[in-house]
Amino acid sequence: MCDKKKLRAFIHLVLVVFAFGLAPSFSQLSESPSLGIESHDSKAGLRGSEADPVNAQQATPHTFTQLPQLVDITGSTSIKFEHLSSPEQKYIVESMSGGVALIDYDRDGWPDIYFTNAQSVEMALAGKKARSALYHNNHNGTFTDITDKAGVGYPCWAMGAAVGDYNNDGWPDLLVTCFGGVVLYRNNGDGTFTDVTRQSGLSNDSGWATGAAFGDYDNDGWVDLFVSHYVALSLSNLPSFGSMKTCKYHGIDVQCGPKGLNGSPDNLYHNNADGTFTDVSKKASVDDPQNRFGLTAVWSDFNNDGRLDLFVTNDGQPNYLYRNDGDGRFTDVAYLAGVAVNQDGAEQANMGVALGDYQHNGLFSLAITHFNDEYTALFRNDGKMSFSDVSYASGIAPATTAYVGWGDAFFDFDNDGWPDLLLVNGHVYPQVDSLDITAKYREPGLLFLNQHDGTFKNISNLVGPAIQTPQVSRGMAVGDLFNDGRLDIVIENLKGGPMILQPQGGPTNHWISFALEGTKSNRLALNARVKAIAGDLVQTGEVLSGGSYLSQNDLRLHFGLGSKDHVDRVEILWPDGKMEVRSNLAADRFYTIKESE
Amino acid sequence: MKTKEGIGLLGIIFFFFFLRSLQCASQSAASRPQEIAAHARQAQEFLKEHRPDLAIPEFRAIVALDPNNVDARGNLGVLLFFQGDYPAAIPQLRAALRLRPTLWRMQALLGMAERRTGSSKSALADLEKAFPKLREEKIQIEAGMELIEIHTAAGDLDKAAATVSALRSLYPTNVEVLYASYRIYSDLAGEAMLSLSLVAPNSARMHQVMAHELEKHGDDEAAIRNYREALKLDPKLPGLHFELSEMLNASSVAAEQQEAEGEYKAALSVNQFDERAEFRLGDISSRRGDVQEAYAHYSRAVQLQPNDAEANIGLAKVLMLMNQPDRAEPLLQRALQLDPTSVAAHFRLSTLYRQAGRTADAKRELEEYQKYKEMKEKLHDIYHDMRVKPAKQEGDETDVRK
Repeated sequence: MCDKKKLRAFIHLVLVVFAFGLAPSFSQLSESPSLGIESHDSKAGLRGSEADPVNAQQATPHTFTQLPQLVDITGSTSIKFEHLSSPEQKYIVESMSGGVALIDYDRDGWPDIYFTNAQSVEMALAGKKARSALYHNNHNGTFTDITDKAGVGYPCWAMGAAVGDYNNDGWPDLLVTCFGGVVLYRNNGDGTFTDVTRQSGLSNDSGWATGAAFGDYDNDGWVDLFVSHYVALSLSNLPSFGSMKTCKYHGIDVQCGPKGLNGSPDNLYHNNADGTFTDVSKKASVDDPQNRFGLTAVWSDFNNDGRLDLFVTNDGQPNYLYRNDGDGRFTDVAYLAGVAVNQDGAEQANMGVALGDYQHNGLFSLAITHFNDEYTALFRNDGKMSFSDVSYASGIAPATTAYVGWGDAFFDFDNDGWPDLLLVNGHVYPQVDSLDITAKYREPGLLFLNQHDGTFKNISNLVGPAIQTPQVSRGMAVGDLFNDGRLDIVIENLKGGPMILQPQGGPTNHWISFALEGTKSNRLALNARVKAIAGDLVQTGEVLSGGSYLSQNDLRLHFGLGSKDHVDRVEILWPDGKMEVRSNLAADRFYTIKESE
Repeated sequence: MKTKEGIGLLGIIFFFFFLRSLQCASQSAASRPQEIAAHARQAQEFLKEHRPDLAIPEFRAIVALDPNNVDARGNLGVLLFFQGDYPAAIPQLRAALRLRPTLWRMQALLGMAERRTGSSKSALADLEKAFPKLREEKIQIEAGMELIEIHTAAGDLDKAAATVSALRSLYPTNVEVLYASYRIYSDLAGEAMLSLSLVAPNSARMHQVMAHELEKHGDDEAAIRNYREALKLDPKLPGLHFELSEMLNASSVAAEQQEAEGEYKAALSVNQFDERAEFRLGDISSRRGDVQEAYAHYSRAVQLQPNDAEANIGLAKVLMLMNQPDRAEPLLQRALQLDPTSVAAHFRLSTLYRQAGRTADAKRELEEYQKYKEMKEKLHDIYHDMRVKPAKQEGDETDVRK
């Protein structure tokens, strides 16, 4: 009986299968899946066991002889984008942009890329704009610039982007954060977008918006929107380069800020389910009355209580971790949870954020990038809304202190079934090169390999020269660009062109990928979780809007499987709290799973 | 250093003393002639009306009738002192003291009056005699300040330092005392530097002093040069390697940072009991992620100086890394006994308690952390606003981004 149910479920599974070397195409095999082959009335299976945060799985010794190499394939992709930047970066607004988004805008199953762009102050004062760019994935390793047709070239003085389906029409929409508010592009489903900022009620957002993330905090099936804001800055009254003590770095003149300038409050917009939003920041108590310098924001249910919490980084100031109290209100518990400041109680720069279950215990930890002389902070989620700064214990900290970190991501670089950690770097002051100090303007990226025991190994110099090439990097997004079962990396650099890094060679490990579609839950299934169990390999992933540094990763959930050629069991926890289960799924395939009605 | 407010407060003190004395005078009036009693009553009335100018003649009348009336002499001296009539106050105060030598406050006032009339020698003698016996804060501070001024004017900075040291131990938060302390020790440092430059201008110590001065003025490069020069002259001079390594360790120049570790080790080779060098080597090992080496250095630092709060915190940190919270906790508690304002210790302890599920304790420590952090940030802002490089403090950072 049970086997029959499983078989039926498998047939009804919305699934497209393709193997390496085949020309893949995503299509939905079943429009009306009758799921519920296996019911699961407890969330505990997916939520992870808080009582036993230490992973019980056997750690596998790692060898470094067969690591994939990260190869810079930008030249072969036909991507010609260049982020604009002034040579001297005299103003802080010129050094904080560069978010990048992966968005499958045409739902063809291949991630497309949206690069944000930002003008210099000089350009802005002269009335000139910077052109952002949307590149369509041609399914053959190349991309085509379709920005003009799509109508997303000149949203604003762009900082970053996030993806969410605000109107639940199934087409992913694009939210661009700007120096001067946000721009919401509605995806028309025909390769074009319409700027609906005003009609959606978001045009009142006029501050320097940085991080943005969609998430359905009230579980009504419609994604809400959080926007963090950075410095209160006006083009008509910019602080002069080197003019104050807070505009000096090692004795030389540099851009002013953020210290010494005023911050801007943050905003939470509730989705009214009719194409409009209402500002509920104050009511929800996430309005940042202290005007901290907000950067990246991410939604996730950190304490596994079924309600979305919100994490917001603040530059040089304590972070916010807003616990969702369930009544439309939030409480900042960042200090009590141990994620406001570092292990010694000191604020850090708090640029980018990565979420990952790097210990395989079903709990999502946070990796936060920082300024040089600080360190990338890894806050291990111990459960019950308590985190530990394990940056040193995990082996992350020492290698990161020399650099200014931005975009970061947990992703399974070698498909061994364990999330590794990648971060990109680049200083904020070009003038730093005139100093006889360790820090340089262009800095290499860093890749840490998960050692399966709570620690990481810095393998940056073992994966080829591309990642070691010094850049002034900012945004970073991860996704399987070429649907070959390996996660690629898109890095947006503040100066010059982007980098597309592709893992090549190494072990031929298995993998599996899931695209989720909500029905009762929000259509993009943001914050749905998938637990993939393959023998003793138990992994959990979550569909996230925003994150990294003002960037957007591929919404599909990818799991490396090592030598496992199938997944025994997959548990999907939808945002509305419902659990669905699939069993015995073959590896090396993409699966689309639609939430049962 | 003396202020009008100080004099005013002193006046209040003496006013109470004066009233008490009047009560005594009234009690003894029954055995005195009626005339003395009448003058005393009249004097009391005038004082109640805040008319010391009218009370003074009444006391003069009593003294004329009874020259050995100690209370009348004393009160007259006090009133004349606060009227600013020091020449007239002095004989009255001296007479009171002759009649009752344990009137220490009278003697302090006498010293002050003598100083104002140019009798520095007598003033010094009276103030030195009275100062150790005084018990009331205001008169004690006032007398001490007078003494310090006399010593400083005479170029006797050591005696001035001794006096200010006594005052600081009694009144560590008094603004005037703190300022006097700052001035005297600054002057002493300047005097010592001048003497050193005269007696040993090319010595290692002279270069060391110059390095300190240059560092104070933000010229780190020149300071490091002087430390190196000092080391050339005397590589085994105690403290030299450590001071150089401190500068190198704080440098942003990669080569200098790398050199710091070697200098700390050199400091240990010169003095194997150099606890601060051990502590810093623990920091360096910790930053490098070498837990075992950090543990060894911090352990030795605590062994050498169990009362170093920072060393206790360092060892606690590495024990936390080694997942030994039970051993870390008492070290953090000890650190807080030694330095209750340690932000890092409060925060670490809060973390330990949170991880152990001791929520109430964790919250308490978090509140302490936030209290002291706010306090220290205010302090930092004061220095920042005044554009002065602060003394070394926890988490001290100077660049905009930090």
